[in-house]
Amino acid sequence: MSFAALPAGLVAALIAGAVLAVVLLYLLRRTPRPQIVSNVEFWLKALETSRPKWLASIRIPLIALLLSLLVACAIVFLAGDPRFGAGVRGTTVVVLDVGRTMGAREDSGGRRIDHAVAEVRRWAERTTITGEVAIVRAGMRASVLLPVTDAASDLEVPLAAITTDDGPSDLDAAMALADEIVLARSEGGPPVGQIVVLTDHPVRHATRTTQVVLPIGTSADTIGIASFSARRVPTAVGEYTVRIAVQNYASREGHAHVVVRDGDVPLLDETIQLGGHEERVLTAEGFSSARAELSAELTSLGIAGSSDALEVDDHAYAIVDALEATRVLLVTDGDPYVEAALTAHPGLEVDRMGTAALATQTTATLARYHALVLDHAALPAGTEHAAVVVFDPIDRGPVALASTLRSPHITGVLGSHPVISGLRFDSVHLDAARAITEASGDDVLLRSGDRAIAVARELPRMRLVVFGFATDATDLVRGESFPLLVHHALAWVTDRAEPTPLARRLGGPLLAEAGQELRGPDGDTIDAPAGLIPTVARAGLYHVGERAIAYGGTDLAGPLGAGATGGTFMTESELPPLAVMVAIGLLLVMLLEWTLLHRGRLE
Amino acid sequence: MRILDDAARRLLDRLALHVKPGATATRQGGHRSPVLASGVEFADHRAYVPGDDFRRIDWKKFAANGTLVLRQFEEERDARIIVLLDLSGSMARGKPPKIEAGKKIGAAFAYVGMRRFDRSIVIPFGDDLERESRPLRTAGDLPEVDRFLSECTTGGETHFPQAVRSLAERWPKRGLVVVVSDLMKPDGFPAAFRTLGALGHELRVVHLSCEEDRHPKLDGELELFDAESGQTLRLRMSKDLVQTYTKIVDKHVIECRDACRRAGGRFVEIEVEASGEAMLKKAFAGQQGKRAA
Repeated sequence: MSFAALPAGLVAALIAGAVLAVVLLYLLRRTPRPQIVSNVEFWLKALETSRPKWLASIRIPLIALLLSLLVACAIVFLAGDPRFGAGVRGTTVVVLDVGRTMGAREDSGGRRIDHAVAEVRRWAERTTITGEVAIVRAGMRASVLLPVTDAASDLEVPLAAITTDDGPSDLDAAMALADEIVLARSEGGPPVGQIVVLTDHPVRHATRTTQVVLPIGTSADTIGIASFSARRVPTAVGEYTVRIAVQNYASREGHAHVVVRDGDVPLLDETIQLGGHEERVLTAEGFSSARAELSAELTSLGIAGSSDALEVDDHAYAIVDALEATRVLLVTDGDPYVEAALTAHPGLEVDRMGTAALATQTTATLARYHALVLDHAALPAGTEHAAVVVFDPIDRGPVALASTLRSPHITGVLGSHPVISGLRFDSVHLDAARAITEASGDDVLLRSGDRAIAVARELPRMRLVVFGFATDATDLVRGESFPLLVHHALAWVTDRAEPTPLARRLGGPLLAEAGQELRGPDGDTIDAPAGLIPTVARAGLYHVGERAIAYGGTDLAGPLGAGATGGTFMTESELPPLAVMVAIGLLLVMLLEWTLLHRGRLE
Repeated sequence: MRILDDAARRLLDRLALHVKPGATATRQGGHRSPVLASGVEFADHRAYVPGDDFRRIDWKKFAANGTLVLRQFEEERDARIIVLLDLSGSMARGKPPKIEAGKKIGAAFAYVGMRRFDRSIVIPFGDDLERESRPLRTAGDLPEVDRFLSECTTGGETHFPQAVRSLAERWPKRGLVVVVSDLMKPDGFPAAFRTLGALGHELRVVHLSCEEDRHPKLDGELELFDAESGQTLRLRMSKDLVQTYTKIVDKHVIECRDACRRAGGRFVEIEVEASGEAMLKKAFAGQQGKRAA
């Protein structure tokens, strides 16, 4: 048996009926029987003598009436109001929060989502007696888990396969969706039904339909990965650094075993102790020019007097892209020194071209190179490139040249510039060099007297380094510093700073090109329509073709809330509704009293 | 309708009323009186005083002692039996009604008095004295008593002090006053009893009680109606209340009894549920024999 969520008018009618019944019983109980006695004055004296001293006791019948009325009204409210679990009428849409915190374990052993699913089943059984039910999955993307149905058995399949997302739930969108469902089922009239929200977060979204918030979850502690990132070391080719921050969100001390792996290769394996609310940052180094797929995991977690309740924040993922070679076009008619210096660098991919061939190149064809190294050559007219290093410039070049200097001495060095930083030129001998006319904004790297013989120029769309001497006119090329000078010059003109490869945030889309295979964190192929996953809800390493993408939720890490506030939490009970038991008990007591008081009249 | 059946009359024939000498009347009768005169029973001698009747001089004493003394005799006189019968509304209560027992007892006292040639008068009362019967002197007047009592009906309130005042005005001479009542009035009775004693009457109170007055069996929500005044009282009956009521009624009866005894009277309690013979025996307890001590 279940009571429906009755309309206000019917509830009022029921209250009136209950009040009428109580008053009738009271009047029946209070209706005196006439009795003739010899003299009432003796009874009056007896009444005065035996009158209770406590003032309220003589008002007990009236107080009993008022209490009975109060209880009767409360019973009707209890029976008619679905928020107290008495049943519902119309469409009930259950909004089930499946956000990351719903996976937290309770002290009782189960997860929050397990308790919420049990509540969903209970509500579905109750509501399908007099109405219909639908379930909205409030994950990172709100969706209908179960369309409107009046059969409670339809819940079993979707509820059995339900999982939590690794990201936060979009509860507002789910509430709006639930509201739309109820309004649509009400066919334009006022909403007939209710929205039951099972969540561990406060509900602040207003709906036209009545909300019943059932708070899920109790206060819990957790230790999680607050940050996880990796980047290549700019100064060391092939090396990368991993940074991981582990945060204890409990007020008491804890410990964790931190493991960071590149694939299956452990980079960090360490047990750390954490004080209350302490954050510990650890770093590790790896070496690989290939792509590194990094995963971090916290194991053997422990908190004094408590336990780690949330598992989803114990994992994090990151990608370090493969080291990409710098493509360089060397334009020379036979300069062994520059070519040798470029070849010595492992991160360069060098193409060689004669100066005559350069005249046939266009901006588009040159764009495939990260940098150009011109030895006594100049770009053809109408072409341009963003990164150029010039040795022994000619007059048609990008810089204006002055007179030729004979046996110039290097008298000035701009040691703070990245191109020549750390290099020494005090013993370098030059046979000849062309003086370079300085332009505004030029950095004069090498100077002979007041003449510039090497400059670095930075334009809005171009970087240029010009050395005003030929490689065969100096002994600089014979020294160990020349390859470094070439490398520094190339690094500066190309300006290829390695971006920090942060993991993508959960909730965003993932798109695969046509023909590309899309694989999930477990390595299973994902059959996504049109190669698109609109909302990535699970953290891990995804592969799109040959590309790897990390999705993580470390920015969502935080302390666990104690659950939502407001509403009522229904406890499991095999007994009839409390209102029914109270009503039956009260009725029996009143009938018994009436019978005892009027047993003579009942005959 | 005969109030006293043959069995009752046979019982009453064996009874006599004892009236104190001070309460006798003036006519010659069967009760000892304080007056020493020409009676039958010798009482005493006294010295001759000139003017005395020569016929009462004890000449034998004069022969022996040489002094003139007169012989004195107790004079026997009749008594006035006044039966005050309560006719208030409360006398209709009880099973059987208290008034029936009251009429029987009243008639019995009148009959016993008439048998001794006393003058018996039955006076009903309520809030005042009602019309009394004519003085009855012989057993042949018993039908008159039956007729008179048969016409008496209950109703109205009790105001015994007023009835006593009226009695003092209408019957100032002393006699035996038999009050037959249920005493169901919290006040007035004890004072009236004392008044009757002060007036020189010999008092005899017959208290009629029924089960309803002594131990009422009531419960629940009740509206009590006064059988005399029609006054109502609404209350919720409880065991404690009934016990309190019983105590108050018992205390009231004890006060009446004490007042009666202080006035030199006798107090008899009779339960109406008893048999007629038992009631009469109890009412005349100590009166058995032709002449009581």
